[in-house]
Amino acid sequence: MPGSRAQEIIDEWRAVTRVPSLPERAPRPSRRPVQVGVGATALAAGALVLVLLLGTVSLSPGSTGKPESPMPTTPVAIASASPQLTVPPSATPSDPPGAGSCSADQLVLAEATNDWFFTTVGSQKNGVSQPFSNRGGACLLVLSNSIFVARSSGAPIPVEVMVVGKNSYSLAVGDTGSIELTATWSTGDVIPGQTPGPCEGSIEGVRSVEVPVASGRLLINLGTVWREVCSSPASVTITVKN
Amino acid sequence: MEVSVTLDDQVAFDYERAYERYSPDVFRFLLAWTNEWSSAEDLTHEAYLRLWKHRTLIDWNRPILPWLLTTARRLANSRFRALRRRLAPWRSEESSDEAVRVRWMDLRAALVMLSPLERVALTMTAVEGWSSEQVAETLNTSAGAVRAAVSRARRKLEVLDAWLPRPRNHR
Repeated sequence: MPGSRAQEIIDEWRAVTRVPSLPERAPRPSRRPVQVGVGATALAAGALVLVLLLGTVSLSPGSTGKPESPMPTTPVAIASASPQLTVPPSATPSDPPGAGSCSADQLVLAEATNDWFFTTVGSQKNGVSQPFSNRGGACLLVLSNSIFVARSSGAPIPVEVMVVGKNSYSLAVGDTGSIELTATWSTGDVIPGQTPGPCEGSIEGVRSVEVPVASGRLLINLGTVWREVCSSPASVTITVKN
Repeated sequence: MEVSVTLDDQVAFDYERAYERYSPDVFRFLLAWTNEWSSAEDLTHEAYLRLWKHRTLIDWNRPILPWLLTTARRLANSRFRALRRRLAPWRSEESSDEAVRVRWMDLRAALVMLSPLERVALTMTAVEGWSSEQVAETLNTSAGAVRAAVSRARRKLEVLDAWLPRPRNHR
């Protein structure tokens, strides 16, 4: 009924609730910042052995998804670009660096390009592209879920990253590609209806990134300064283009 | 270059896409159900954490929104029960900016006289374009009950002129 009081309220609802009020990123359970060291490594190795002994990660009877799931559940389909999985299940978010078989020595890096900046109210994004060429033998490049970031001084610091898309790439001799990094940080502006997200393990003034590979790390000079990098939730994404 | 993908990659991608596509819908549904802006934000966050928790059990080839809405409603109901037990006050509506907050408070005052069923039935059908059957499925009720709720909601809102300021023309 156009013009009615109810319709006015419905229109007002439509207008008010269209105001953005949710975080830009999907929530993930908070995790502790990546730790390195003998103790942490031993703990991770122990957990990995336990997972391998158990085979697939099984779910307890109480966590079948039923309480929240009126929808029938079936195994997740894998939309794979190739029929085989070349990365074992262990190469997942909490893996330590060093998976795959490509060494830093065989991947020759060109100069990184600072591709773009994108600013919105409350946040800024920056994309960096690091071209590489495989000058060694065929190898498997696996993107870890942690990288190292460095300021103008001081040792590189491990942080979590979000691997976008695939996390493993088979490189033939002479293959070229690029590692694409995207960082997002808060500018401190107020977004209507939105609260700043958490940022654990904040590192300010990041100028370079080291990407761990099977042997060694790939050093990427950003050519700019990332105002802030969060370890949890990850504020940097990584992927590979070819 | 040969490229492969892991199960975790695909699930993470589906999860991110589900957030981009449906989080506003989940939020508005929860706003209608709870009539509380900050609670709707919190519960949207919680619903997606549940989705992440169950990500390996979900059939991502099926529509994910019904799962999210049902989970969201159950989370909201659990929160209401917990709050009643503790007699805790609602959080203030601090998470929206001032202009939105003022408009929302007026709107909320109008909608507080409706039941959660009436609010959801009215807003989801009139604004979001859902069918009565879709709303009924989400709320575990009948389409007839939804249509009746819409009718009741409209009748209640028509008598608000006496005390509610008419919506300002902000648009």
